[in-house]
Amino acid sequence: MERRPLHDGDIIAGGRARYTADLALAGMAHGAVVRSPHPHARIRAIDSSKARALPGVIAVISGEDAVALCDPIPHSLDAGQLGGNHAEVRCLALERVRYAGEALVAVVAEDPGTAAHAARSVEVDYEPLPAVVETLDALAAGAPLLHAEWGSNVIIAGHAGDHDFDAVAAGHARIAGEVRSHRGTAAPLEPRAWLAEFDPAERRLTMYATTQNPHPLRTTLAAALGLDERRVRIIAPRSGGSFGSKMYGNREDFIAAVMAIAAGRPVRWVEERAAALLPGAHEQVHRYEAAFSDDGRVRALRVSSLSNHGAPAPGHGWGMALVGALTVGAGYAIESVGVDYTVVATNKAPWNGTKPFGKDGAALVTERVMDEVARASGLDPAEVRRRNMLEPDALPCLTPTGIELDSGRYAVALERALERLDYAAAREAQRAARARGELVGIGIGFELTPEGADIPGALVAGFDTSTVRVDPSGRVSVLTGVTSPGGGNDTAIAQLVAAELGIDPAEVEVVQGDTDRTPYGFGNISSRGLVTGGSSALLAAREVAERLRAVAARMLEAPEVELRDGAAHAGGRSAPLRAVAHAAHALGYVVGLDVEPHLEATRSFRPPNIRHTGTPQPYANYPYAVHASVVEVDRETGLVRARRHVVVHDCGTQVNPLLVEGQVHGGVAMGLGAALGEELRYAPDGRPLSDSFKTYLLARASDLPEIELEHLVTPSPFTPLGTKGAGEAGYGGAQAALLAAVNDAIAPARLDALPASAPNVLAAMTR
Amino acid sequence: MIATPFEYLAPESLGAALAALAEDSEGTAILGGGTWLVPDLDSGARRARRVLDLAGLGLNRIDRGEDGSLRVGAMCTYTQLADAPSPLLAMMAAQITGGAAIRNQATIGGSLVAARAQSDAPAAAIAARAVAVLASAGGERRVGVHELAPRRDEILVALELPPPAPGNGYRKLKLGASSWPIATAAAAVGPDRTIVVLGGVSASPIRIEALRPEELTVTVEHPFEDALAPAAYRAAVAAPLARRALEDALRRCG
Repeated sequence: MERRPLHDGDIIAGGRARYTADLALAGMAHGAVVRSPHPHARIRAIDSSKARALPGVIAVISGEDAVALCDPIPHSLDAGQLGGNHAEVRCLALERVRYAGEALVAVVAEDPGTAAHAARSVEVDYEPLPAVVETLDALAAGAPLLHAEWGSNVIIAGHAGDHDFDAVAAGHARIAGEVRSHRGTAAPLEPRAWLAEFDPAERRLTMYATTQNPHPLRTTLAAALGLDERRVRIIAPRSGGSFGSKMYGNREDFIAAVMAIAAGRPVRWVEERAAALLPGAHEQVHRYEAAFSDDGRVRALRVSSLSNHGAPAPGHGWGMALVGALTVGAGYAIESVGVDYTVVATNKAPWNGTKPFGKDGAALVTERVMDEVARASGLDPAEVRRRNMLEPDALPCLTPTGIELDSGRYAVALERALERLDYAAAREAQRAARARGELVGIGIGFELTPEGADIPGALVAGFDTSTVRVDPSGRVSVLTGVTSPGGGNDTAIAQLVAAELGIDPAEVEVVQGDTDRTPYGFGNISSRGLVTGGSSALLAAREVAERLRAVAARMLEAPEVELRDGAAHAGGRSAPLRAVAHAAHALGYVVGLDVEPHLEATRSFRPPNIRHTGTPQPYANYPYAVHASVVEVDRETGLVRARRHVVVHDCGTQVNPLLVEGQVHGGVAMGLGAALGEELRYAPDGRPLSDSFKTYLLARASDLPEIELEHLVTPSPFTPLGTKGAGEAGYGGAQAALLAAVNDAIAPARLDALPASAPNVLAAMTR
Repeated sequence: MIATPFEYLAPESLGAALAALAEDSEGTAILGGGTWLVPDLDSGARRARRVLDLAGLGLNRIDRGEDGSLRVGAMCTYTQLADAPSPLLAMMAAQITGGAAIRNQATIGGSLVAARAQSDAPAAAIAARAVAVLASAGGERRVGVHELAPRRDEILVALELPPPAPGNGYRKLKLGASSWPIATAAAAVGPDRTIVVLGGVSASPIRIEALRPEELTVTVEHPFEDALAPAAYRAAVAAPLARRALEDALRRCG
């Protein structure tokens, strides 16, 4: 379909967009919270008398005060119900804090300055406890425990795949090693923000929130606050970026509601940057062992992945470890794959769902194995991948870890990437550079991203719902349960509906993120906005188009009606769409008798390949990409300069290729940025060190090469248009390719722990 | 959000500023461009009863003497310095991180007084042999920038720079476009003296002087460490960076 810019792109780029923090209500007060400076401490006493005495302070709410207002936060994915440990988490910490930055007191005041002053005036008597910060330390015997009743710091441990490694590996050569990824975060420019108002007479809560999932947030908030779900309205204004960080299950959503209830006033609370940089992800230790035959084919792969989750949390964060385990080796024809995953609690801030939700870890370890097999066998790294990738006719295919790959042409993507790079010439240039004493490396990274998840028991569904409505004036609205994180699914949904109704996409208004207006939906999660929201809107639009055609057929007195250019055409005559719409409403008994009255249809789309019986299939589709990176490394400083980055990406049918490119560019920038040095660092005592964009270094445009992007289109057999998710593309393959390129440059030295920041690379070279 | 109330003063003459400072020098924070002070007040790292804004004092001029010497007002921004006839200050300013908002706001005087190890300005100013002009109610005094340590009742009003050396080089190592410098090296090579100053690698800049370039040796005794890079890394990159700056300076000498 058409390359079309965001319908609201000029408003956003022009600085005229309004975000949650820009909104105000009459009588609005302002919130702030007291955060623990200690990574682990017992709260002995809280003295808020000085804070309360400050002029302009409206409410000071401790964790104990909040108990009466808010139950423990409902888990969105409870490890305790899946064989792991349950942690009861309240909005404000009670008795104990388990990470530096954990909120324990909320303050509401007349203005933000007074609120901040009051928060700093609350005196907390802490009894510091021994903190555990690093993954392996948390697993060591005698480690301080975050939850003594668990008997360990393991939140959950499990296995994906088979147990056949030893049998399959017998007689083959082996490689083994370890690769580590570092803690990073989503780092949207817009921190989380809320504006909440509570009406005590009707017990009605209205909350504007930076959330990806307004309806699930409504359900869980109502449950924890003891409210009727129908009297809770969540509105998610335009998003300034989320990338997973605004998934429901954040305790802060509950703090914001408690502030408004306790204050009896509308309260706005905008999280400070240091707090926005607390939620973690990615931090893993992968130990791998692989057996391969002389031809470079990987026969068996065994991985043990340890995830440093930080303090237990009610969100989905730990699920990233499970998803990563399921994705290891996917796309390659490996007979035996087994992955043990262990999610470890430490006194860092908790993991939070973060793009690309664990699939980065799978790409990192799988691509490392391919490179190590190349190194051990003397084969070229591209050749090793070529020999191991699943052939297109092998699909659909059940992987050893149990996911059913639907469609894909992995080796074709690889060849395209190598062609675009001119691989032979790039290797020749590398040899020439080395002869001059320069360190140049080439790396390949393959990513496969299961998308469109349906998680049993969680409010994360593989389906979603849209309403298409045409008013008597002929105006078209789509009300959909999916939300847009800024990637433009609203623009693409408008395109889909407009095409069915024969109108310009600019004529379609897409309504999202308001629980009182849209059908119950699951928001943006798991790259499913277009697959579910788009497909359901398409189905609803087809139904409405059918009714419009039937009405128009009566009006034009001809049976075959075509909707195009804003009008119904039949038998050489035409009627403007607004006239047809008006007639459908005003002359329903005259021209509308052939169809259901009213130009409104609500449809859901449920991908048919998801199932939870037999071999469970939680995913709807499997987009993928092949990346190739070229880097230069400064021998004296370890600085890595990314020179080229090629991506060949396949998300099936593209509704709007411009938006898909935006997604891939963003994902590649995040993945390269992570690989080059975005890192949430902690002091050995557990204090977070990366509390601003001067200490958490996002990649800027000048840090990155031009992203050379090409597309393959292998349609999904399971969606109406063949679309697949694109929202998590780019990250995992880019990160893996960049690390591989750095290691190619500095060989025989090798960096085993990301990021490939200059200090780490220089240390690896001089080790 | 600045949590505690403060009094904001914006005097229109240096005399008035110095008089106001003398009233409560301990409780006063001097505001240059604010790129350090405002975040510090915001985070609570620093509190002030008074904020004294120097913007109205006319300290943003660059005056060039006939011999090529310069007097640079303390309130000159990096944007101004990028065009200044001081090769070292201009090279330094051109590489400032932070985009137009920082380059148009942050001042050379503020950077020198804040004296953060990560600051760009100190090493370049020292290599340019800048002298700081400090004013107080009691009068003016001059001190080399390498010895700059203003008292609480003093305001840095200007830098005085001798005519630039024939060859100058400035190198900055940072981890990414948004990174503070991990290390900077400013080199000035003249007929009878060579100086290299390393910034960022230790708490205060390291001055290395020699008659001839080949006599320079770089050692970092107490390397600085922060959230971006460990001490060992700074120690390791200091010598290569100094060499590169020096090579640039020698090449420009012709």
